Amino acid sequence: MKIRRGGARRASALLIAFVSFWGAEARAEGYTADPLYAAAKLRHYCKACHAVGTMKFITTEDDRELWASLFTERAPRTGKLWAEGIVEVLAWPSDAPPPFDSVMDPPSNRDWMPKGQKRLELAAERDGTTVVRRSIVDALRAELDKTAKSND
Amino acid sequence: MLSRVTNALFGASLAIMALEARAACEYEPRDTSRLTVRDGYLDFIAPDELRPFKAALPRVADPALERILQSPDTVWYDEESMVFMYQDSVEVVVGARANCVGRMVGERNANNPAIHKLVNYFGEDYRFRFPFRTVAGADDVENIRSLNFWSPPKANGQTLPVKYWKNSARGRWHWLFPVGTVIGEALFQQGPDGRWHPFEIRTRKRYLDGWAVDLFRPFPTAASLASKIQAQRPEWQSDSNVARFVEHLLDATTLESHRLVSEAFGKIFPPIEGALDVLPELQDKALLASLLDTTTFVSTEGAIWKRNGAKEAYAPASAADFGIVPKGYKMGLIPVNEVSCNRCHDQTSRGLGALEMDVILYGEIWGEDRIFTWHLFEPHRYMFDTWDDSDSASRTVNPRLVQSNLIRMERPAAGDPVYKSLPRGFPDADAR
Repeated sequence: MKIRRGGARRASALLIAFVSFWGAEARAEGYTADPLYAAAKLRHYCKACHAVGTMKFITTEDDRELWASLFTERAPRTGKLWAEGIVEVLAWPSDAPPPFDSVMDPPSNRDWMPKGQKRLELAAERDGTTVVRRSIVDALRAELDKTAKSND
Repeated sequence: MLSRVTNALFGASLAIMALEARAACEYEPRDTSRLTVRDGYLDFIAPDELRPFKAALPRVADPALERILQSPDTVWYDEESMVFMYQDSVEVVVGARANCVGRMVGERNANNPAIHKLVNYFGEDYRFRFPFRTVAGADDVENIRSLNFWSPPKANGQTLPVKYWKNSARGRWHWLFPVGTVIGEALFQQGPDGRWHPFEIRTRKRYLDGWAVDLFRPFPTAASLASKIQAQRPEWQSDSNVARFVEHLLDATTLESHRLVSEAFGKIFPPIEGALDVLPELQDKALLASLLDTTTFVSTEGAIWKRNGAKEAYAPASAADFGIVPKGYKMGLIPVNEVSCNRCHDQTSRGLGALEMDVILYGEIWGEDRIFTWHLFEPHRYMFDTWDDSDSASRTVNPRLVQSNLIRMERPAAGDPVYKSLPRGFPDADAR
């Protein structure tokens, strides 16, 4: 079902409010899956392919708005929420970067996040002992779970 | 009478076109005897010729690049000194071809449709057609001077050479740059004062599995340029031209939809949809020159020059021959990231013959190891026609590169941590 434009805007506003609250709470608890932290990291690493073809989901300079949009806007090709698509391409089999000589899903020729230096940098980045890629995926999954539960 | 005059004029214009064609594809020997060659370095361009451009180079907010731009070991070259060329590794005649040769061969074989089709891939200006013609985004730019630079990496104080090899006696020459190599372009435009002003620095840095890219400009966003002008001209609102320019910069609705399409290479280069932000002319050229010459250039990887809803431009465009960028500049359509740049760079060394099955197409797209401009061959007159390796030594290693130890004939072993062949999405020219 398509969300009406007004509905999407209201959903975004609610999410932004929630993200602000959750972000503060998460930071206070030292939890690394902070949505704003994840949004900032996504912004950095997703420069690797932004605006090539239909890959265009960084539509704002504000990390709160960016984060909220991932749960309301959909990828034009797959129709999935951007958050769902990003989780798929970042949920690597291990913390090592997927090799450049293969793809994620050969039959459909879908790949993990684009091959390139940014994939290697993301694999290498740790925040203390926490793998940054996992923090991003955890934050996205947590938000997707909450959204799913609230829709039940 | 009239038809005779028309015929005479037509004949004369054909003759002029033929002469121009020949002039467009002829070797102009350069005296390299006085140019420096030493271990780890060589001059391609005479220092006197290079000096004004090096003196005009901007400061960049990247210490590593700053060091490269100032280093006496950075090798500078351009189209003329390097002789931009492609390889033709398809029998029965194989060799090195200056980029103008493809067009010349196509024209020369007007009666042979299969060969004449080369003109579909090489344009009237005797270059590869878009998108392989020139510096990305500059196909419609006239006011531009591009200087290439090459910074070979060092290990234990020794410069790491480019390694090259052949799989067969007459096959394609392959080469690999070592990890850490930086290949770049410094772009200049000429101001009304006759001086060349930098407007962009582009870099590709080799890592084991590819090339990381970056691109440095004085202003990554329209807002940053507006702020700088407002700071430099506190009375900007009292000058209607400057005011109009600043208002344009701050107006998101100025983006115009635009499309880049390659008819020649459409099979391997899909159209790019996007937007351009064509800035009006800023009449205060001294202000423009000052903005270009004194602003520290910053990385624009991932930067969005201006956004209006879903419309985005990644660089400015210009209505003026001399602007923040020159007229005709279309990098506004091309985001700065590795995937974006690879859309063209992935195609180096692809055989043209595979693009059209019913045609005799000679040669491969220029470049090797995802770098278009660099090659290791000695420029000579045999590059300017379809001479064969056997009777003209068409592909001969540049002895000055050998002397400088910047190249070495050696095929890197599998698993080498410094040299690695990158995957290609097309058959090797050797395999045909």
